[in-house]
Amino acid sequence: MASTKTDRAMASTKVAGPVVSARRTRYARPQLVVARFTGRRMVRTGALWGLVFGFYVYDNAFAFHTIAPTAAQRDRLLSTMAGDAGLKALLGDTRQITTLGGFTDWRAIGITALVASIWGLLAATKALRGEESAGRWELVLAGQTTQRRAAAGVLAGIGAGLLAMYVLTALLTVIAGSRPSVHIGPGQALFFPLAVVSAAAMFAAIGAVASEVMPTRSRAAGLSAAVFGAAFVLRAMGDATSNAHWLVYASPLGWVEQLRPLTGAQPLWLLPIAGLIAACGVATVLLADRDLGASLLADSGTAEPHTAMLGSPVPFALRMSRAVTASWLAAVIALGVLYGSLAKSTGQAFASSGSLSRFTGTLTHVAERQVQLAGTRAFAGIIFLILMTLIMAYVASAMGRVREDEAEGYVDNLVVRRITRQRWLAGRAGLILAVLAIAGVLGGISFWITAASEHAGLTFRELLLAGVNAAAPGAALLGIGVLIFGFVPRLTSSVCWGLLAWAFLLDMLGSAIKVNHWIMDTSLLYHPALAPAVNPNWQIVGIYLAIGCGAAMLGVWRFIQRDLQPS
Amino acid sequence: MDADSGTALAAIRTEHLTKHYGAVVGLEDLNLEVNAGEVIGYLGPNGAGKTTTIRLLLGLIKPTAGRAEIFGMDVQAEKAAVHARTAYVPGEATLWPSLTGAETLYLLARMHGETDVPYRDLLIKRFDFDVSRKVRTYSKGNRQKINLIAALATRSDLLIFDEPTAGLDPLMEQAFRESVLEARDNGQTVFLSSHVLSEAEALCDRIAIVRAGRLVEIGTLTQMRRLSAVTVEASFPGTPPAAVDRVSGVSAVQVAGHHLTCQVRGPIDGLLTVLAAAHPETLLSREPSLEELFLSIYGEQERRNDGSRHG
Repeated sequence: MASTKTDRAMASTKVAGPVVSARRTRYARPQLVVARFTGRRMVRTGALWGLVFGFYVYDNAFAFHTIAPTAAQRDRLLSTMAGDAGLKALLGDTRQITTLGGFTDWRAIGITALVASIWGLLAATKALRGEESAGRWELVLAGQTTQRRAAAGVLAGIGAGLLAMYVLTALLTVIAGSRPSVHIGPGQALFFPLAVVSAAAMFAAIGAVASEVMPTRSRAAGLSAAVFGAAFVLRAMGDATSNAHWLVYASPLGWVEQLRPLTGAQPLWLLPIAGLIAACGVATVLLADRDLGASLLADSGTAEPHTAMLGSPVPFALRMSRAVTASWLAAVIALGVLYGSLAKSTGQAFASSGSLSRFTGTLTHVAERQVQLAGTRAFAGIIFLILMTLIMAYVASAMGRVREDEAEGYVDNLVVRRITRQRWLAGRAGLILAVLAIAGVLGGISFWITAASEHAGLTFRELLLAGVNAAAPGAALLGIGVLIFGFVPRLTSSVCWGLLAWAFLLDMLGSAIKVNHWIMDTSLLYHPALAPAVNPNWQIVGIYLAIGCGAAMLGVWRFIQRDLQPS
Repeated sequence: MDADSGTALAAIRTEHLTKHYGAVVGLEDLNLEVNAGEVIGYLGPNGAGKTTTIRLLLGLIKPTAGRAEIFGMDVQAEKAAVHARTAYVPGEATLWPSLTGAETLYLLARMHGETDVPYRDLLIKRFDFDVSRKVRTYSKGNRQKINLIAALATRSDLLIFDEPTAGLDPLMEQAFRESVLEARDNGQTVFLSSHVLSEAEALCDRIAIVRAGRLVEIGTLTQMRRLSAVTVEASFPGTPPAAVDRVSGVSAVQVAGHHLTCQVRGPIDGLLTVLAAAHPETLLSREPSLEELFLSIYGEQERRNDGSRHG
């Protein structure tokens, strides 16, 4: 056999073993790299959410004194609210809300525990299954680590993020508590954020197990979200009904509620919380010892071809996002069904209390008398405000996926063929618009179905219109999202979620304390009428649609002009 | 044919095509013409500007200056019409993990607008590709096969390949070469960006070489070889002639005992006269391979750059 040049070169080279540089850098404890790397990212987002939660707690502590003009009126208002099933289902146990501690417990934990839980499950599924699906996990496992050690490292990194969240929330709670008008002791102020962070920790742990069970990140997030939804429904039903209160004890969110950090702390409830976190943590580490890419629930690697909805870009986008879209719509229907069933009883409580009407009037920006006349409608108005927020969250999430499609290179596959960029982006925006409109309509219909069964006195037409009205901020956000995608694609997701968080925070602040109207004007949730508490303001709806449409057209125009920008 | 001028339309024509990413030069002043029906190899090291050129030709990015045409159509102004006559295979396949191979081929065919189904089925067999599996279960090479089959089956007038055989095993590389030759025989134009020099040598009518965003050489392999030095080896019964050093165009003379090796650029008759006078026992001349040409062009560029830096 003729020897090649390489063969000859090798034969003439004296084999002297591997070349080792005397200057080779050695890094200490390479097995900790995964924890440090994950921790660095988690600390950033955990600290950000800690700040948001801290300010929200701070606001709520002061809001207690401003929700009514006098202490007597406040007591009457809060006493009425305490017996209301709808509010219990919405934010949790209201038994002690006539005190500052109880009010802060109820309002602050009711909201922050939900947001923190969602953060936790998304963070865990992204850091574990998301990294594995993206192919980066195999690089990690090629280093000085094992599957189990790497999974434990990710959990430790998430723990660092939770610690950052705790520190910042605690700092602001201690500051608020030290004010003479608030009076929250340091012990209580340090225990309070633990309740918030424990919710995030539980659902991060659930997300971690789901990442080992499911083969894709979206399915892992879906499984975790289903557990979260079940926990919320159990907690809501347990709080809203006296004969099934035990359901609260079956829900992880109920355990958080039972901690009651500011109204007679019950730290014993930390035991099931710690038990769940530990069990999920151990399960995650044990299950991590598997083939790369495998999962506990095996996914079929083969399938018969189904070519439906593969013929053009819009049906294709719908096919690729059908599970996520169905989940959002299911959440909207669940919201409508759950709170529609409480509309009548809550409405009666609203109508019977002047102070409550005033409070609701502040939130819904309508006159006290008008609210008094329509207690059920006022409650429905608050629920449709939540529906608006939910629809905006869907839009932010969907625009994030549009950007991901460009960043990951999926768009290239389409626009190098006969699909123009204009057609692709306009199609995606049109699809999101259609889904948000359907969400609004479904929200209205599902609320009507259960409200009508309770004879709450709300008509199909007014709830349908309220649903359409609730979709308007989503349409405006969609347009702004497309605009940002056209001009600064890398900021698409951050800006959309940021606008949603900003609007939500301002609405919560604006309902309790006086905020400059110029600042309130920047909130997408501030301007729309809270139908059906009041009639929809179609002029505002029209303006929102015009803003959305104009911004979207500008965004599409810019997208056609600019370079495609992969990640 | 161009109806107005009566001349054949170039498949690809670029005029001063330039792309800067801020201060970084992606491509500088590219003037290139690729004839219809030609297979052109586009070679260069990492970061030379190959992918930037392709993304400009496909209208995925905008030029900083200059313009490009495909079959006489401006690639920026008439993207849809250009894409209707073009099929593209990227170097790294980003495909939807939840679809099967069959579904992905169907999707890509529908998005392109047309496909030759019997030929696609033939390609599936040729590339030994299992279409029933989901994309997330495919290896890198199998994912690349989807892109290759989808592009080749369109029978588009212009096929643009960006390092298409990355991840393919040697048998599949052979299947790819067979398919490209079929495309050429079918009158299709092929623009092949590649690192695999043997592939370009076997398939391409002309070779273009880019470096640091600039076109440094273009021509047929024969033309390039003419411009490059030929290696000559000779052995003599006695001492090799010392006069070889003084022959015009001769360089890199090495003498080892009765053997002489040198390189000659340009006419070889002067060297032959000197060698013949010494009565050589053996005489061997060898043209440079594409790999040697490539390295020689790069070496020359490096030397020029070093010279300009030190000068």
